[in-house]
Parts: sequence; structure tokens; C-alpha cells
Amino acid sequence: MDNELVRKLVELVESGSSIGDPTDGALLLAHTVGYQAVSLYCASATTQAEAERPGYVLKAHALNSSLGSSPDSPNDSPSDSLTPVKEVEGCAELELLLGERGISPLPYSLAALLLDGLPVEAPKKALAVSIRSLSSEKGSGFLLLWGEPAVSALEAEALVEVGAPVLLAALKQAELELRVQSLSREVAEAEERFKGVEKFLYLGDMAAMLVHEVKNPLISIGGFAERLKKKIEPGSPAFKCVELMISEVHRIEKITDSAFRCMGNEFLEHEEEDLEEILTETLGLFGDEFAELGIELTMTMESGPVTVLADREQLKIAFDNLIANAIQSMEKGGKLALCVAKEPGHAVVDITDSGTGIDSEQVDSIFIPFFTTKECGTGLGLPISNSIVLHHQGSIEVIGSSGEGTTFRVRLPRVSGG
Amino acid sequence: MSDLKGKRILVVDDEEGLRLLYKEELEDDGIDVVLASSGTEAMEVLSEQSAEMDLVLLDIKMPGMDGVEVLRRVKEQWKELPVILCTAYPHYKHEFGTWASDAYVVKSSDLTELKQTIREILLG
Repeated sequence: MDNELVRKLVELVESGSSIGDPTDGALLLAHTVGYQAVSLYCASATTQAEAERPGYVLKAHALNSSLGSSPDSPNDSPSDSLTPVKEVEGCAELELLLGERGISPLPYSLAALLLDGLPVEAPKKALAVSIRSLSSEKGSGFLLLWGEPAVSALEAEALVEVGAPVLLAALKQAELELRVQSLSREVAEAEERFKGVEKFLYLGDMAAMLVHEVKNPLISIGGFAERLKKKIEPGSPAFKCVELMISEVHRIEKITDSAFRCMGNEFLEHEEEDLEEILTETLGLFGDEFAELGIELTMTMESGPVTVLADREQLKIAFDNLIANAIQSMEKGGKLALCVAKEPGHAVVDITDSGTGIDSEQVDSIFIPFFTTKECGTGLGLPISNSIVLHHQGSIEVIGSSGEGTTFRVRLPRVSGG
Repeated sequence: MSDLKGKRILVVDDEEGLRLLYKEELEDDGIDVVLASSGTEAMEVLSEQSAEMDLVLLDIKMPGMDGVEVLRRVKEQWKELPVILCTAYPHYKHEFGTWASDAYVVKSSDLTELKQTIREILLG
């Protein structure tokens, strides 16, 4: 550093026109030999600012200047004085400074804003020296220099050049702090999401408990009702009551079994299975129902076998629910079409009905357990199908729904060569 | 069903209602029913009556010694004594510990399957 320059800066400070306290001159002198800057403004983006408009919070770090540290401890480490002494947010003019390179004159109003509340008087003239950290294309802050008369641009540049390594270290520190804050936010958000996942896992445990605590007494009720039924005269009012008890118990048993199946825990045995055979068997479970309801059934299949790795019985349950759902959506005389096709790596089954369709607002909800628009529905059929297909690394989607019908597309990984 | 008359079955379940239900249903068929409300009690009964027992009807989820542990001990000490696991949970049948059982029946208020399974095992 040029001694003449140092002398000039000492004169500036000792003139008392800028900082006000002569002892700060010593600090400034320490600063000017390359130790630290007077004040360093670091920019940190705020979430709120980002939401409303891109912006920054400018935090003034008093680096061993009169703003923050004791004159008796001029050798405080930079990190001790990185606690922001002031924050300025949402000032467009200051934000413009961050985009500047080099040195810019700082209007009085901005200097006043930056120094407002701090134990210095706003100078009539001040300079802002843009600082860029190594990792950012945008300005990360600026060095605020003031004096009366103003420090020349050349002198400011020299000052910055000497103090640059320290400034950059301070900036890095500030950036790390910002990163820690950001990571802390991410951890907090992840913890919240994990709580959600935990809740879902608890649902599986809860379902298991439900099966045990509800189903066992239910079996007693249903079993004794069956015994009672044998002792009552058929056709009598008491007989009808008992029959109703039995049918209600069976209904609740199905619901608890479905709920348990839906919430996971069902172990799957995967074997190579012919998908078309599974579908044919599933359709067979409906017996004469299609004819009785006047439903025209068509099935289009590939010419050769379509082989998937599957738990046969589970897939039958999945397709059973989808077909039952299709039937329920149709009035007498509807059409149900099943189409099996091969895609690279996948088998695709389209189940298309000519029913009333699904309300567009409800499409996203149909796989949610217990969601139903039907008076007698449990809201578990489609979620169970979805759960089973997902456990087969497949997917179900609604690819078309209107007042004239719905198509559910089931996609399952195909066995190579099958 | 007189062909089952005189057979003796140990029913092990922590649910009192189910113990009574099974007892009444099986006694209708002339079967002699012994009850145990826990795995520990079941082992105590078997230590005294194993020779007279023809079958064990065993719940899985019980406090203390569960059905899988009872099954293991029964097969270890009385290898030829048939055990039917009868549980509300369908998925235990995939667990290795249950494979030693002679049958696995999922509980239902409809006892048809259970009674048919008992009949098949008792009559061999």
C-alpha cells in the first residue's frame, strides 16, 4: 500500500468529518493496510422477497469498525464481527448496486438509509464498491466507504485490492451462513414430510390393529348369529333380524379385509403369469352378470401370450375391482371393452365402459381410500386396485372420462420375451 | 358328524368370544374341546394331555407367547400333533415361522372353511 495513500486516509479520518471518533482512525488505518473494510454489506435473498419480487436483504456487517467492535480490540477476528448490525430490505436502488461493477457514487439518501440508526452520521458523500464473490455472477455485496472529502475512486480501488482476500473470506463466511439457514429450512421441511410418511406408515400398523381389534369380536357376533339362526323358525321376524345381523357382519368383514389390503402389508408372490388368462379368469368371476345387466362385453387381445411377473390372485382382485367399478357406472345395456396390448417393456390393459364418466374435479380423488360417490360404495375398490398394481411396479391412470364413459389404463412391466 | 365324535381339540385364542364360539360349534359335532387363553396355558395343557389331543386350533396374535412360538414348541416336542393356525391376518402364511403348521385358515364369521379343514385333518 502506498504510504502517501495511507497518510491521506489517516488525515481523512482524523478530520472527524466522517466517522466522528478519532480512535476509529486507528481502526481504519488497520483496515487500510489490508486487514478489513469499514463496512461490508452482504446480500442474501429472502424467501419473501423471492415470492413477491426478486430482492435481497442487505446486511451490514461491522468489520472491526466503529459500528461494532471495541477500539481496544482491534484484532478481533472477522468472524466475531459478522453479526449483522443492520438489515435493509426491499430497496430497489440498493439492489441495483449489486449489479454494478467497480465503484459507484452512493447518493446521500441511500447512505442515510444504510447508516440510519447506527452511531455514525450519514456522510454527504459516500462510495459503494461492488464486491463479487467467486461463486456468484451477481454482486454479493458492496463495500461502503465514506469520508469528507470523499475517498477518490483510485484510492478506493487500492483499498479494495488490499482488503479483497479478507473481504472474500468474510463473504464466504456469510454465504456459508446463508447456506446453513437454507439447509436448516430444508431439514425442517423434510422433517414435516417425514412426519407425513410416518403417519402413513402408522396407517398400516393401525389397519393391522383394526383387523385384530374389530374383526375378532365381529367374528364372534357373526358366528353366534349363525348359531342363533339355526334355532329360530325360518321366515319369522326374529329370523329376518338375525339374517340382517349376519349380512351386516359379513359386510363389515369385507370392509376390514379391504382396508387392511389397501394399506399395505399384503405379501405378494410373483410368478410369470399370462395376463390374458388372468383377465379371462377375472371376467369368469362375474358369471352371468354381464348378460343379466345387458352389458355388451368385448375383449381384444394380442395374438401371442402377454407375460407379466405377478401375484395371480392379487391381480385378479385388482382387475375385479376395476371391472366392478365399470359395471356400476353403467345403466342397463352398456358396453364394456377390455383391450390388451404390448408396449416396449410393458403390457397395457385398457378397461373402457360406456358409463356416466367421472367428474373432472373428482378424478384425482378416486384412488383415495374411502372416497366414493356411490351410495353403497366403500370407496376402497379402486384404491386397492391401485395399491396392488403399484406393488407390481405398474400404474393405473384414467386416460379419458366424459359423460359417455371412462377408460382406465393399467400398465404392468412385461417379462422379457413375453 | 359322528365320525368326529370323541376327538379332542385344544382351542387356543385370547378372545373369549371366539373360544366359546369354537367350543359350541365343535361340540355340536361331538368333539371334545379344551380351551386355553394364552400360549403359556396351551403349553401347560399339552404337557399333561398331549397324548389325548388330536389337534390344536391356534390363534397367532396373542399377548405373551404368540402362536408362532407355540407352533414351534409343539412341533419340537410333539411332531405328529396337527396344528391349524387360525388368524385374522392373511399375510402370516408367507412367514417362515408358520410353514410348520398343517393348515392356515383366515378367521371369518363363516366357519365353513374352518370346520372343513378340521374335518379333513382329523379324518386324515
